Parts: sequence; C-alpha cells; structure tokens
Amino acid sequence: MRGNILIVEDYADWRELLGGMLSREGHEVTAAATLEEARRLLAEIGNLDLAILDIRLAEADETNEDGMRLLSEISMERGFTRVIVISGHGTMEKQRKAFREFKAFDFFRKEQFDSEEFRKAVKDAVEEAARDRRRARESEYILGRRFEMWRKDND
Amino acid sequence: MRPDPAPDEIFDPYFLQSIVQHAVHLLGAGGSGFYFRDPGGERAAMVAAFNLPEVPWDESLPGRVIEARKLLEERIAGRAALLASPAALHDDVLGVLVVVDRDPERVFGDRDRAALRSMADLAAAASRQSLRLARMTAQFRALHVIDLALSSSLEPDRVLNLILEKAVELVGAEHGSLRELNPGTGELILRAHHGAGWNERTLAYTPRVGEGVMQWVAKHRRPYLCANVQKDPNYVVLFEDMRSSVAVPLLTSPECRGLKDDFLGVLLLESSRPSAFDRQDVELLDALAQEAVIAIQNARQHQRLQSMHVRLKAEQEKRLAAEKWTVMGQAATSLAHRINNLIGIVPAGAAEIARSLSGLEIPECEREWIDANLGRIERNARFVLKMSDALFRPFKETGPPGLFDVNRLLSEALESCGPHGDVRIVRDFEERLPRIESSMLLVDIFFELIFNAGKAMEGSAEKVLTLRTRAAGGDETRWVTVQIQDTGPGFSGEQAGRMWDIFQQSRNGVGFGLWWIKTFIERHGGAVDCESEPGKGSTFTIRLPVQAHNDPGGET
Repeated sequence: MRGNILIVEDYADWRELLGGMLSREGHEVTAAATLEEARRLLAEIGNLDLAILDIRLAEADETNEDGMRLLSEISMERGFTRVIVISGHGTMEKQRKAFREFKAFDFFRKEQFDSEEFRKAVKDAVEEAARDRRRARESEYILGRRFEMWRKDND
Repeated sequence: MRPDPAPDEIFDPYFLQSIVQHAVHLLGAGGSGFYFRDPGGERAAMVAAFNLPEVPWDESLPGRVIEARKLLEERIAGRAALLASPAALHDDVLGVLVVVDRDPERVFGDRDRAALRSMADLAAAASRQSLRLARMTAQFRALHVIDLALSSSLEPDRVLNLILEKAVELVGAEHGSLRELNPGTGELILRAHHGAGWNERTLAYTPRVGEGVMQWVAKHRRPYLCANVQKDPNYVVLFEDMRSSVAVPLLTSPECRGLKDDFLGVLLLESSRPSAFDRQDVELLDALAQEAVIAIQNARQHQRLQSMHVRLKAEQEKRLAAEKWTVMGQAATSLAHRINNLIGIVPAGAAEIARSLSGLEIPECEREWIDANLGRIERNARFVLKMSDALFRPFKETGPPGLFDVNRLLSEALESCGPHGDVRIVRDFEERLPRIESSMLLVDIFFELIFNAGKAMEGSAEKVLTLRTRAAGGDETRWVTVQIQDTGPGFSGEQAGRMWDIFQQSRNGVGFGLWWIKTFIERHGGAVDCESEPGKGSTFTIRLPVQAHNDPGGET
C-alpha cells in the first residue's frame, strides 16, 4: 500500500537514506530538516499517513527536542497520522515518553538501526492510518445517510 | 616566690634624702642617716645620709633598734650623742633612722623623740606606697608582655602558659594551674600548669564543676582567697603542705555575664606560706583571667573559622567536581549523538546496498567479494558503535535522578545475576540505610561486580559471596558503603592498579572494563576501591554520598 509520509531529520544523509528507501517502496515521501519546515509541510499535506521524526533537530543543542514537540502536535491535531520516532542517542526516558504520552507507533535507534524492521514498521503504520481513515469515512457516510433518512421522514 | 624588692624600689632615695635632712634640722643635730633592713637577715645597710660626722660609732645600733623595735639613745663618750628610731609600719620594721649630735652632752627631749619617731614612720609609710607602685609596675609589664603575645600569637597554649607563668611569678605562688571548662562534660580541663611538683598523678587530675574550690568559684563567679586552706573543708588537696590558695573565675566579657555559658574556667594559685596572697593579688589575677578569657575565645573563634574553612573548601571541591562532571557529561552525550548519527548510517547504508544488489545479476565471484566487503564495513561500523556506547555509558541518563535504597538495588542485581550454583551468599545489610541519589545504572554496576565475583570463584574450593552495606560518616558528610567480597584467587597490587584503566578490556571485548564503573561512581560524588591479595579473595568497596536532607527510610 502506498502511503503519504513526512520525514523530519536534520542529518541530510539519514534524511536521504530513509527517503530513498521508502520512495523505492512506492510511498509518497516529503522531507524536512527543521521544525519550521516541518510545520509548513504539515499544514500543506492533507492526508498524512505517517511522520518519521528525529528527536533532536539541532546538532549543537543538547536539550533540543523539536521532534518530541512535533510528535505532541501531531498526536493532538491529527487523529489518523502515525508517528515513528528515531533517535541518535536514545534514552529510555524519551522512549517511554514518546509511547506513553504521545502514542508513538514505533521507536528506532540509529546506532542499532535495522532496515528490515523499519520497512515493516512503516508498512504497518501506513496500513493502520489508511484503515482508520477508511473507517472514519464509512461511519461518516452512514451518519450522513441516517441524517438524510431522518430528514426525509420528518419533512 | 615573689622576688625581694631592691632597696631603691622600696625607698625613694630623694624622699629619704629629704627625711634625713629634715631630721637634722628639726632636732638641731649634726647629721643623720637612714638604714634599710634587709628583709632576709637582720643586717642593716645605710641607704641615705646627711652630714654624718666622721666619728667612729657603734654600727650595731640599727640592728639593735630593729631587734628592740623601739627608740634607743646612746652616747659615745666625749664625742657624740645618738638617737635611733625604728621605721615601722604596723609591726613590721622596715628600717632605722639615726641622728648624731657632735655634743656628747646633748640630751634628746620628748619632742625630739616624737619628731624622730614620726619621721621614721613617715619613711615607712612612703616605702609602702613605693612597694605598691613597684608591684603595680611589674604587673603592668607582665600584662603588656601578655597583650603582645595575645595579639601576635595564634597558639592559645603558648599564651595561656605565659599568663600562668606571669601569675605565679607576680603573686609569689608555688603552683599554678589554668583550667578550661568543657561545657559538654562539665570537666575542668588543665590547659596550663606552672611550678614544681607537677607529676603524672597531679596532671591527670581533672576536677568537675562542683568539686572543691572550683565549685565555689564556678558557683559564685567570684574570686576565692584563702589564707589557710587547711581550715577550708571544700579544699581538695592536690599538693601537700599548701596553706594559701587564690582562685579567680574566667568569665566572658561583662556584656555576656549572667548568660548560661559565661563561665569559661578557673585560674588557681597556691603557696605553702600562710596568708601569701592579698587583695592586690586578686585584682591582678582578675586582670590576668580576662587575658586568658580573650586567649580562649580567640582560640575557639579560630577553631570555628578553621572548621568553617575546611567545610567551605570541601564544598567548593565538591562543586568543582560536579561542574567538571556536568561539562564532561554534556561533551560525552553530544559526541555520542554525533557518532551514532554519522556511523549509524554505515551499516544501514551497507544493508541497502546488499538489498539492491540481491535483485541484480552479478557473477558469483564478484557477489562474494561485494558481500565480504559489505560485511567488513558493517562489522567494523557496529564495533565502533558498541565502543561508543561503552565509552558513553557512565554519562548516560537513565531517567531522572531518584532516591534509591541501596539494599534493594543490590538484591535486584543479585537476583538478575541468577543462581550462583554452589556459591554461598552472605547478606550483611544494615537496616534503614539512608537513600542515595543516583540512577538505575547502579543496578548494572552491582550486577557487573557480582557477576565478576562469581566468575572469579569458579575454580575456588570455598565459594562465599558477601554483600555488605553500611551507613558511615558524621554530621557533615554521610556515606553509604557497599562491599562486594569474594573468596576467589584475588590479585596482586599491580593488577589492582591497572583494574580501573580505560584500556583494560572487558569480557565482551568492546567495553572498557571497570573504567565505566569508576567513572559513573565518581560522577555521582562517590568512590570505588578494591582490596585484594593473591589467594585471599578480593573486596570491592563503593562509597556513595548521602544528600543532607535524606532520611533513612524504606520504599521510594
């Protein structure tokens, strides 16, 4: 299944590797290097299935957690979009927070990166997002039909 | 003994000169002389003379006057008439005033006698004042010397000894002691002693407030002056044959008087002579006691400052160490982040190449060569990543710092280490240890040390693993110590020295041995040490600081 994917990663090599990997799988991939760029793209893209976020988006800033901020924004505003978090220096604490508070879909560490696992996670996430979207559309349709029928009955 | 005053200290020579001149004029005599009585013997020496005629006369006359304690009149046949009067103060004869008339027939009348007598007594009264003055001068000199010592010396013992030495000397005592009150125990600790007769027994004697003369002085905050101690039931005999005793309290400055701890100690002097001390001695000792108070307070202040200095220095060192570790930690995490990003991409990229190639047609020998090279690239990159992980391990944050019960962490580590087969495990845990601020990595450290201990004992006949925890330290700094002790073969001092070395390889080949343990523990303000002897097993001791506000408790 083809998915609509946004990659946010400040390291160009990683951005290009992951982007290339996923577009070769047939996905529609957009990429951003900074928080601002990512926000702009998020506003543009309509049906985003998956966002892949690096936690730290500024190399020099040890406390930077722009990726976590994006994660929280997406989890609050976009019900269907799944998020996979990647990190260069993963700590248990960040991992836990990503899962517990913001319902991240998966977590990958660059120092132990497994491409096949990653491909599988992307596939699952895209499928889940698409399924949720389809179901929502269906229930919306049913609700709409019911309203139509109700209106007819009450005319 | 108080040093005997010289004649010119007792008698002002100008005053005596005027006395002898007046005696001649008043009595209309030929000449006059004043004889000083040597306090040691009965000898009399002439100290002032006016117009004494050159006539041989009986020089034993002054001596006889001293002995008789009354006026004597004598005649040297055909040559002169003499009248001599004792110069007495109360019952004490200080000297003799003699007038000589060249007229051997001269008869001294009652008026002459009374005049001579009153002039002699006047000389005695004046001498008493001189004597007082001489004593005061000596006292001022002593106080000055003590003041100099007080303001220039930081050694309280030197100053207190000097004060006592001067006190003994000035009041003519045989023994003296200066004691400081220990407010905690109520004991009067001997700070200085002077005079003969101090021996092991007398030095060891430490009275408490409430004993003997000290009790009286401490209770009344007033000087004690006793002419005959044998009549005082309070008196504790430390030196035999003592008769007189004088003691003054060491009291803090007047504005602090009356407060609970205004009494600092006692200055006590004794003499074998009865009535050896007087009010003037008490006044002097009071002044000396004030000096001693200043010395003691200076010493206490100095001690307080010293301990404050030590504490501040330790705190500063701790802060500097913490800052150093913070900087190192930041550098380490930043470096780890870069390495993981830059090298992490290598195996991922290699895997992608392999994946792409798998779909292409390539001659078998070329494919093998490509696979072998990709394998090498991936293997080496992963090794670098593992090394970086090991290197940055002690700086890794595994969650926010929390308060941990060391006993529980040790038990957890022991549990996850699994059963040790025939190893006997001794848990020597101190109950209710204060909790320490650290991270869960401590469990890993305990795990590694317990694991190593188990491994070390694999070939040993006796296998005992002892885990020991203790709370240690005083009010200032408290510690929790953890000991992991095995009965393995142990190792030499040389091996122990290398143990914490960063280049010491660990069992899996990529770590840095025990280096990370030492680094982690030191980063958290603790210390780790190892004691071992070949054939006698080894003991690892970890010391972890307890934050001041942590109470002992159970669960976090």
